[in-house]
Amino acid sequence: MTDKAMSYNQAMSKGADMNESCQLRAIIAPMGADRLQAQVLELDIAVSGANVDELIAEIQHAIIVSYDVAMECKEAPFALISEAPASVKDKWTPGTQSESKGFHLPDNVAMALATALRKRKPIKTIEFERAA
Amino acid sequence: MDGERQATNTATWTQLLKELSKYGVGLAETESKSGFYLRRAVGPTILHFALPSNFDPKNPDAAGLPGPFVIYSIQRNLDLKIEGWYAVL
Repeated sequence: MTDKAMSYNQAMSKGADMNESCQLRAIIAPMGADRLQAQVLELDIAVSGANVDELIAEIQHAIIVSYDVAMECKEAPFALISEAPASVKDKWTPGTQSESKGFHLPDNVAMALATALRKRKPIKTIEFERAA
Repeated sequence: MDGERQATNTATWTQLLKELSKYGVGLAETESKSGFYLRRAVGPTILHFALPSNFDPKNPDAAGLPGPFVIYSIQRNLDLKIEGWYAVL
């Protein structure tokens, strides 16, 4: 077996996500009459905003700030951020009224996030589902 | 706030910061100036929660209401459970 094939097998055995369509998921819920809130599922990040575009911008911002804090503390980025709790993740129903949007992070942050989430490729999209 | 039991899980940023300060939570800004965050030291570990992009320490409430998702997430990320206040999911 070649070194490359061995690396592939080792990554698979460690549970790496070999799917190339890497994305984050978030649950959206209304907050009062004119605001929305979102909870990301893969990382325990929650934000609020006036619309979906603002939610995306706030999630991107929170990820960048978390990356910067980790760098300043000389820690691995996102190592101290858990997934959303099961009670939130259970609200996700795949394929039910979900909406996919583009997601942009600086290359270094995107690569660190992909590594933390065990994804092969940087995350380029985020999928939203509205809470029932 | 101030120890009273909340009937709802809404609060302003000013109320929230005041309550969190009782648990040793402070405000900080990243060295790169990318944003403000809540910071709590637990031993050698710095727990953090990123604040909204338009957060202004001089006028916290201009950032809008934090909302229940944010309030729950703050408590989880900072490893806090504020008794008699907000449920922690």
